[in-house]
Amino acid sequence: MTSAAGAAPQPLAGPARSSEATPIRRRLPLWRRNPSLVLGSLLIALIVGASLIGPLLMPYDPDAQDLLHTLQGPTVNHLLGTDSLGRDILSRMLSAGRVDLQIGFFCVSFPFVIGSLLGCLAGYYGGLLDTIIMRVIDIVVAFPFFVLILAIVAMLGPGLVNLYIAVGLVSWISYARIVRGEMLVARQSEFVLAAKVIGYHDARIIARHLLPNVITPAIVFSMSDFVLDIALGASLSFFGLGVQPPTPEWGLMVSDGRVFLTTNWWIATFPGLAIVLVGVAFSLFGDGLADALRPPS
Amino acid sequence: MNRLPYVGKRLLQMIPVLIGITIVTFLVVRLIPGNPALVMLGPKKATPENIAAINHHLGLDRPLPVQYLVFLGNLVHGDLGSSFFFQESVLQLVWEKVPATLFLLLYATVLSVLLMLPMGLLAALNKDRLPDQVIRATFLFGLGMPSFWLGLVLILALSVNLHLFPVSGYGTNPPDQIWHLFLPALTIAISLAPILVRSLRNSLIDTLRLDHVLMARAKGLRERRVLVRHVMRNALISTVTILGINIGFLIGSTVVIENIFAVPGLGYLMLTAISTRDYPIVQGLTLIFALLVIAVNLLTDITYSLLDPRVTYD
Amino acid sequence: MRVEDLRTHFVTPSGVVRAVDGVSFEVAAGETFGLVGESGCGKSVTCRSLLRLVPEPPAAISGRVLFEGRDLLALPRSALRTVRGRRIAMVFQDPMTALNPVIRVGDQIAEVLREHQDVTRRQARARALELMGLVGIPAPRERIDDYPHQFSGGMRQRVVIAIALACNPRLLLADEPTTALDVTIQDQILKLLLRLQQTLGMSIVLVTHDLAIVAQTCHRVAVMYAGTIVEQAATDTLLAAPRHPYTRGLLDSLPNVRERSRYLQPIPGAPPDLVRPPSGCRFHPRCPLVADACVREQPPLRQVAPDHLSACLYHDRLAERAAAGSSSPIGVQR
Repeated sequence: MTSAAGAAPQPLAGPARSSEATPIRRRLPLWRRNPSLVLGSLLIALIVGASLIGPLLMPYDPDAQDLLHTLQGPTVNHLLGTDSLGRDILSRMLSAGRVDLQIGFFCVSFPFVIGSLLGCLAGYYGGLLDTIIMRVIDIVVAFPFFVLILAIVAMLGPGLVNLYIAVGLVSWISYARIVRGEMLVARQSEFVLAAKVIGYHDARIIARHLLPNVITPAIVFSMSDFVLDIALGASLSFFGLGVQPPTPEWGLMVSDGRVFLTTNWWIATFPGLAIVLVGVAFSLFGDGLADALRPPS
Repeated sequence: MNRLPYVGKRLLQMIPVLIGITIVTFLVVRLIPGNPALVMLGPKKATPENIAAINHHLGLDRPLPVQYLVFLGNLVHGDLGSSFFFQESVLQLVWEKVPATLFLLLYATVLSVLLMLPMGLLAALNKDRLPDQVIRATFLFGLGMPSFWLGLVLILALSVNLHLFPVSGYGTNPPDQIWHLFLPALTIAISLAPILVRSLRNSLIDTLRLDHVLMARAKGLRERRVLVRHVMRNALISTVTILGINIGFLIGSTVVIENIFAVPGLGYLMLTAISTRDYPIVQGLTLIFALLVIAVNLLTDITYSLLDPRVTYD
Repeated sequence: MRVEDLRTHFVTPSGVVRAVDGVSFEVAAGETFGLVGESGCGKSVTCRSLLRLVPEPPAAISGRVLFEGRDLLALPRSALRTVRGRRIAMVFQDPMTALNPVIRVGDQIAEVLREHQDVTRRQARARALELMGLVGIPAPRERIDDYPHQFSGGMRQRVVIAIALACNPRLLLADEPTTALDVTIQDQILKLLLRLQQTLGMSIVLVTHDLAIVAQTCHRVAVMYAGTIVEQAATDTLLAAPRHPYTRGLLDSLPNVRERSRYLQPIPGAPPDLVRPPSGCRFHPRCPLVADACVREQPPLRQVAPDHLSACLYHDRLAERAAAGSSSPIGVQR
């Protein structure tokens, strides 16, 4: 700004006619500006669509065994081959899609809600609540994530519900940390002070004014969390601690195919590719989202 | 040395956390639904004597806080309980398996650094140009790639088809072990690479934009010298920090990888214990892993303080 | 040094930012040349463009920068490196960020010497000690192995100056060297620079937003606005009888100790968008003297008096006012 004085605008004197060109902002189309977002969304739509509709359209029942045609490679009849019990891999993969996406969804939602809430409260109120929550986080963080989940699932027993419980118990800390950090900064903002002066309830301040701002990094994080949780679910199922057979799940399918790795490699490989693909889709979307939500510099 | 008070202070700060992890470990076992003793022993071993032994050891018939104190008391004596399956104490079993896991961790760390430094540098120096975009594209694939699958693929490609490395096992003497553990360590390194390289790349980009780099160029220094002296030092510090942050993942990966490659370490033991319902081992290992993470974090902090002269020791 | 029509444009997603748009000036040997303007007017970018220290994928630099018989903008990188640090040195604004925090101060000074001159480590260290003494750092022998964070702000800037002077450059580019410092330290550093200039006989290009600094230190000064120079003259002339409304506005917005009854007059409006600058004269939206001609075409910077250049079509009106001894600001009618 002008040296010494502030930018207090004063009326211009004289016949000042500015012909500053009206800025017709020709912004680039969305797909150029943020290709990740667009591509990611497309892929996600594709995947979700395939998972929802696929099982309706698939050629075979995923559990149907055909012991005459076991361990076949990709053919016209079975586009991705068959497994050791003659089940069509493509059908199983489509079915498994539903299961895996569901895993991702539940493993993200509960921690997201719980963690964000706790982080919000901890960041806003500070004091004892904050100290307690931070201590708990410090302690949980000391355990390797996978090990802790394993231990909990080991105690509770295998199965999806127990997986959700385990993840719910552990995963919330990431969200809590993120939201708390944002909250610590945001609560110093002037508009919060203004709201307090007006006399709004804390709850109202948090819910309507602060939450929309502090939640965005958590949303972005939830995308990569989604990917990691699917991988987690697959890993647990791979070791027999997650989804139980015969329910198809990508990790489980890889485990089934492991024995045949040297001879019929496709049984184990394709389901893994599906996981990777989902990972790519959500990572892209997450990156695009992060870019889109970032305040313009 | 003037660093001792720093270390001492850090250790003191860790005490609440240490207590905390014992509490968590204690509670985890109590998650078992139903009669823990019965579940632990399984129908076959649930003889009255065994049940009584468990009850005594865990103090199951007494109130919870007392149980915890019993547990803690045992811990302090180094008693992590006895395995149900093997006729040894948990501590003994763990002690046997630690070397393999430590070796794998070290190996994986070295490979990770070897992977992440050049890639991070390449990406940061060529920001938004082709090498950077290629590297960032690989992140996408790498982030969601489960390590168990990656391990299998690598086995398929390098062991089965090309016969370069053994499929599994540990080997008997150090040179043999290096050969055996290469694939497992590589799998861990690759599965971690996306996160590490991305963090390093971002850190380097920030460093490159710093004024003192500009100043170094203004001094007329050769670009290579600018890189080596002014950028790399800071980059190395970032690397240490980034590794430290992700140590949890690193250690967690060993569990999966050890099982894929049949490496007889702590991770392998853990899964075996889970499948045989050997709860004392599971409990003990959970604690040990947490201690491992804390120890590595402390090590990282100390290394960092050695590298960065700005850290004060008060 | 002579700069001819320097242009530095940045290609960004929102458009091309014309940070420096046709800047030309000359710096004679041994003189201090000031480059003054608001934040964002392009003076820092100009300074950095002279040595091509602007990252050149987003930036595109054109024009000519003639120094010691060569055009710096046309030199290959290797030749440019021999100029940087050796013949032309630069002092940055914030010494805390300009110095590498993990390398000892003495080593950072010695580094320049060892790059450009054939000296041993011991010789470089000796010279570094000498330089530290020259710039007024007390007890150099004890401080040479300290790290930057162990120095105060003023001392750090002295280190930066020591680094700049290491190879006896002919030209020193000082980009807001005192902005990050306390006022009392500012004074010390400026005096140091002037003293060094006299003893070493180098030229200085001093970039600043503070007219007071210009008044104290520069022989000649150019005023920049929105990427171009709008007025250029000897310091005394410029400050006493400015011939551009922007300069006049800057002077008017400064508190004047002697005329306490005068109101402060800020320049209305805000600096323009450098992607889509105003048509014609870039100052016209904020100019009290604006007329149709100002909007149509950008006035060229031309000589309006001996050694006095101005880019205003109505410079004589300002000259008249100055001649009439009027010190009341042009602008809002009160």
